[in-house]
Amino acid sequence: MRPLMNIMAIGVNHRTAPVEVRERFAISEADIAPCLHSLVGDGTIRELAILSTCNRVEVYAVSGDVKAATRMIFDALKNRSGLDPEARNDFYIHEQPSSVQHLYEVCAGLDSMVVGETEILGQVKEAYRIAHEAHRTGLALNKLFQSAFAVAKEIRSRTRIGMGSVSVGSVAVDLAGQIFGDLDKRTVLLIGAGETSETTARSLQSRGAKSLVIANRSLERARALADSLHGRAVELDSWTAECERADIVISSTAAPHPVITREKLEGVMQRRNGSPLFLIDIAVPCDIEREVSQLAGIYLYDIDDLQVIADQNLAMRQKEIAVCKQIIREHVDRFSAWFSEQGVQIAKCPTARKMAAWRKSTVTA
Amino acid sequence: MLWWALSFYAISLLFALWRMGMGLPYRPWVKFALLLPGFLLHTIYLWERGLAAGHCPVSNLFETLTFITWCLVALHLVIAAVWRIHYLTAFYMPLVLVIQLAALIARKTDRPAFENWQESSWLGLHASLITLGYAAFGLAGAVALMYLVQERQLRTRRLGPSFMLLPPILRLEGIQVWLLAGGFVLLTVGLVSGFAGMHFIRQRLLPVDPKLLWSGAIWAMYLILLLGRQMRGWSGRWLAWSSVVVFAFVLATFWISNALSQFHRY
Repeated sequence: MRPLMNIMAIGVNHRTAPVEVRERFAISEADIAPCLHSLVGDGTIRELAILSTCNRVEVYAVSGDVKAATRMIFDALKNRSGLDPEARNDFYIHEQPSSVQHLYEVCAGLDSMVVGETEILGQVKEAYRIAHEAHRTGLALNKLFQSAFAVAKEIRSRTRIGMGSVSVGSVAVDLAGQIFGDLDKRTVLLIGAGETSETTARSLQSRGAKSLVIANRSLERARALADSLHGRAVELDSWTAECERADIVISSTAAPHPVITREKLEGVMQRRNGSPLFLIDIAVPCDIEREVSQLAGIYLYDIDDLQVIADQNLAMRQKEIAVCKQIIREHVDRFSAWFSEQGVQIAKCPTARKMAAWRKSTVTA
Repeated sequence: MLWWALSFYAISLLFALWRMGMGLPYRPWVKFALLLPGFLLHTIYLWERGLAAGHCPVSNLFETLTFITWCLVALHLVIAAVWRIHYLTAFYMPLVLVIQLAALIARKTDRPAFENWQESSWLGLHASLITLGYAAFGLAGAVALMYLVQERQLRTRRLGPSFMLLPPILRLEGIQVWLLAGGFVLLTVGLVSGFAGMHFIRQRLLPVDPKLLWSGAIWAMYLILLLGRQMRGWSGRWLAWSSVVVFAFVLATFWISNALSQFHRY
């Protein structure tokens, strides 16, 4: 009688282990295929996929002998890292249906450091692609991963888990996007060359903003920052002239009083012919007079405003988790029913034969 | 058939409002699946009526209002496809429903108004161009409303669930200007075709008429709106408010101008 198959998820993530430990177990993208190959063994592990990101290293395996398969995986990880996974409490071992639920939660971003983030879905897709091309996936893992991608898509569509940014820099970029749309033709003016303004400017550049001007009291510091951000450095006093052409202004000087006043901006806005201006004040104390937000076409946000929005978005995502988990539960039940029905076919799945062919082709190449 | 079309429109409005209120994305295929059956029925109805009459069905109040709502939905479908502005349904569909209900009430007076068949193609062109122009202004008003909602959220720093779902305000402003300019061109050509038809077909000048004065006033208002944006650098908020107010004026006075007119009374 063939053994009853089980899907396992064995791994370590940002909740269970510090970064130094995760780094030791991490497997680079180039090493994943050889690692899948090394775990072929005697056919104890029928199907296999490895997910390795900066926040997690997880092995998804299908086997009829959970203990033996776990031993093989732990041995492989020990050989790679020099650490014994068995001796550590960092590792979790999920068996079906908990393993299925775990992958669904990972794909939906529920298990991520930033709840609801979407990057992980791309990473899981990549992990699946590598395993599939190495012929290490069969009926069970193919179905599992495809259903996980579908569940993630459904959760994005039915809930607000991915809505709104949860970091100050990303909130600023979202707001700029909701004012201007595409940022690729937008000019960003940095007044003061602080670290937070630099980070925010980099975020805006990553979303397409190409033109960057840095106005700083120390022109030397402005030039240094301009070099690293591919921008242009100007004297601090010329900020009003630059402001007429800028779309986004990030201010972070160490001045004890407001640098950007309503009086100065009124003149600037008259010369801007009605085009909007997004002001981000990340200085403490504030660089921009609050009254300027009464001028038409000006949208002013200080660091507290951005933080409040980020916190609200995070709270909203947390509230959505319960809805997401309900959706996941329904899909886990559906998958479990399918898995029980397909048990015999999964056991017959000829991954070992395919693996041998793959190994042969790799050696020939 | 029109009642069925109206039902589909109402469902699409309710669905858009629900998704927007929940802060959930509105999938384009769902939007088109809800809207297209209604639009198809609406089109078939007008097509059959146009074929029977031999001209664009804009010869009485019922037909004109039904044609306006068709133009609104058609323009919206184009805009939604080009600019991916899917939540517009929540902003302009109430207008479609109100106008179409008014049209169905006005159906009691539904009789052909173009008595002279030789003139009907000219009158059909004149009326349909102006109707299309008003539909563009109506949609510009809906886009302006969307702009005001989004702009208020940005200005007050209170971001609701719909904030990330609605388009950027600069894009909304651009669409609004495009619709205003398009509506203005259609209205201008429609008015000129009216004067030209009067001169060349009826061989006479159009006498002073309340509807004519009203149309001239509307034309001037939209001209000021466009010039104000282009030459005076009006802010987006000011343009949006003006667009909403002027179209509200058009809606409120359309009936009165018709009722007072000798030549445009339906």
